[in-house]
Formats: sequence, C-alpha cells, structure tokens
Amino acid sequence: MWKVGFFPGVRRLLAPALTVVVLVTLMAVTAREREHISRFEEVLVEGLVPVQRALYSGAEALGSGVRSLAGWRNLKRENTRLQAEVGSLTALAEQARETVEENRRLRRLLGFAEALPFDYLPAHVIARNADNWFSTVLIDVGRRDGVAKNMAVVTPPGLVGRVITVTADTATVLLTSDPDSGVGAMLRRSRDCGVLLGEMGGQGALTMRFFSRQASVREGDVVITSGLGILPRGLLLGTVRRVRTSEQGLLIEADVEPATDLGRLEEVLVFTRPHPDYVEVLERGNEPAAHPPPLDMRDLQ
Amino acid sequence: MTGVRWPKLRLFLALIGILTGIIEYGLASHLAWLGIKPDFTLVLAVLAGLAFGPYDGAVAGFFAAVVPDLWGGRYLGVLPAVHLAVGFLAGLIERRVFKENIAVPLSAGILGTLTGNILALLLYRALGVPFPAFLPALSVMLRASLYNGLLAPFVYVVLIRLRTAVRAAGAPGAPGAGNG
Repeated sequence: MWKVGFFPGVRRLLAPALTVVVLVTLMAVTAREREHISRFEEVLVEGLVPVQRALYSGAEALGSGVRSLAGWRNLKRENTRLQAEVGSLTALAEQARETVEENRRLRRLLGFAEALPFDYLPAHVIARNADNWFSTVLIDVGRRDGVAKNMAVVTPPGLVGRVITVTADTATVLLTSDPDSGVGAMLRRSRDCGVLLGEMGGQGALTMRFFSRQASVREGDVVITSGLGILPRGLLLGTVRRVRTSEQGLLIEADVEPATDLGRLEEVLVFTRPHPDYVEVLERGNEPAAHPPPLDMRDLQ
Repeated sequence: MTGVRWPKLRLFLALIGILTGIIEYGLASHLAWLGIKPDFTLVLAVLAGLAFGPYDGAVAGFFAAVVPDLWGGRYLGVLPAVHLAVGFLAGLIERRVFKENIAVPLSAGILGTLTGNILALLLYRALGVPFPAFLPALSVMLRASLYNGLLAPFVYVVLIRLRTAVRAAGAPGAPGAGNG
C-alpha cells in the first residue's frame, strides 16, 4: 500500500485531484469539434450499440403500444374519415405522378441531368443524447457504409443535421436545434441570407439571424439552406413563425419552426455523395442562377 | 471517513452507475415528460451520496456519467465532473438527515438536479458554449428538477435497502460502522 508518511492527508486527496486534472484536460481537448474520435471512444460506442439498439427499439415499441391503446377510441372514427380521404387522394396521386413524369421528360429534353443530385443512404436512429441541453442522435450507418464527417442528414420534409463523428458502423448527427449548430440559410422568397442557429435547451427551437438589417422577412417565409457552408443548397429547413430584432437591436432575427419534428426522428437519409454537377445544373436551368429551386425531398421518392 | 473504504461497495456502485448510464442513453428520450428527459444518472449520484456518503456518491456519479459522456463525443469530462461534484456534495449531508423521511430524496432530487444543471451550464460556458436565454433555461431546469425529484424516492428505496444490507454485513468502513 502506498504510504505518504509526512502528509497523511495527501493520499486521500490524490485520487480526487488526479480525477479533476484528467477531467479538465479532457474538457479542454474535446471542447472543439474533432476530426476523429479516439479509438477508445470508437470501441465503446461500437461495443454498446447492440444494447443501445435493443433498449431504444424496445422502448419505442412499448411507447407505440401504449399510444395505440390510448388512441383506441378515436381509431374507428379516424378510420371512416381516412377511407373517404383515400379515395380523393388516389385521384390526386395519379395526377401528381403524371406531372412528375412530364417534368422528367422535359428535363431530359432540355439536357438536365436526370440522376438524383445526391447518392443517399437510409439509416435508423438508435439513440439520442440523454441530456436536455444538446441535440444529437446516433444512427446505424458509419464509415463502412461510406459515411463521413459533415455529410448532410435529411428526412422527407428537410434537413435535420450533419454528421459530426463516425465510427465503423455508427455516426453521430448534430441536429439543427443543437447550440453548436449553425447552418447557412436563406429565405426562398426574398433570398435574404443568414445563419440558422439552435438553442441550448430550446427543445427544437431554431433562430435565424440575418446578415442584413434590411432583410425582408415575414411570417410564413420558407427557409432553405443557402449553400454558403458545408451543406448543399436548397434543403428545406423550416418556416418563419415570428420576426423580431436581436437583444441589442442591431440585427433582424426570426423564430423558425423546423420542417421536421426533431424530437421524433426514426429513419433518416444521409447524403453520401453529391452529384458533381448539382450546382452547375441548377445554374444552367430555366430559372436565373440567383434563384435555384429548392431541393424537394419528395422528388427523391 | 477514511480515504479507502469498503472496496466492494464502491465497485458495486461503479457498476450500477455504468449500467444506469447505459439505460439512461437508451431510454431517457422515450420517457420525456413535457419535453424534459429524466436524468437517472444524476438522481443516482445524489441519492448514493445521501445513502453512503460523499466519496461513494462521487464514485457512483462519476461512473454513471462516463457512458453518456463518451457517447456524446463532445465536451468530454463535463458530465462526470458535474455528477461527481453533485454526488460528493449530497454526501456531505449524509449524516445530518433523517434518511427514512420521504421528503429527503424528493428534495435532494430537486436540489441536486438544479445544482447539477447550474454547474453544467457554468462548465459549458467556460468551454465556449453561450449561456441559453434565462427564462427558457430556468424553465428547463425547474421541470427537470421536478421530474427527477419525483423519480428519486423510487431509486432511494433501493439504495436504502442496499445500505441496510451493507450495514448488516458489518463490512469494514460501511456507513455507520464507526469508521467515519
């Protein structure tokens, strides 16, 4: 046993002091976004994925069952209403299919690239961060599937975040509502640019801070990615709910409702490889180069 | 209280802590209430301190936070530091409270969560993360404290039974065994 002799209290304080030193060092090293996580972290994450997946999907199934039971009374009424709706929607779907086909034919005719602008990889959410201050999720695809850092992650409505760390079979996604997230954004209508920020503990709330004090912003404006950054242009981000000035009164800010419910993510798509002509195709299009059409996720289905 | 006490108890608390951390990461988001996730790891840290003393509370808190911290991949060390501190602080009042009173774990869960969240925000601020807006942050902290406080008595019952078993076993350095 280690005897410190002259300072009997030192041994008692040694473990806590060493612990504090190690923790502070860790905090300082990992405060900035890292290119790669350590091998130890990678092994730990990979090793616990089966347990995590079982817990998460088990809880999800249980939650669905409870919600189903709770909604049983409304089910029959809802069923009748939906059947009537299906009839009219079927007719609309046929029209929409026809329109999409016509659009594709016209694009081919004008020399537009027919292929999707991105290769994408479907993934399941297998865990979420456990605290109330940050917003990240863990998905079940990783380096072996071709996922790399900074790839965009989307759902059919729009962008949900980007990949920040990758292991062999998993990846951590920084959601747009995370306080460390800052997405280059612009309004589809007025093309005014800004940055879309998450909030600590905001529970999905997003704030868009505009670069120009003369920005034309109004409630209902659609917000898309501007392409001024690492994410591709045109991905749907959300809708403006309220316009205000910043605390100092210098900038225009807007509360943005995200296009996707970030608290209920189950399946997502990871954009793995951008089409090299994506932006060029948009620039050469019928619309002026300054007004590229936003990428509608429904076109990918 | 001696520096090295009953090692099996600390090992047991460390394992319980790690298990709690794994469960927390997998289940917390599914148990959200009014948008707030419960924090089993913080509750464990506070109540372990209350039941066994500051060093055991610190050990339980530290190991409970390790897995969620490493899985997060960012600001490593913050969660273990906060949980260690909260477990230790809760343990300082271990000998001054009447443990069989249900109000003890309830209020400890509430105050421990508030303290833990404030410490966490201060550490994150020191690492460059801006403070959140005051009222929303206060709302999050109060709701989280209430939620954890309501969960605390259930966890406390288990820990108190463990404490009784430890005392009955007469392990050297066990709480109340006279080595404090």
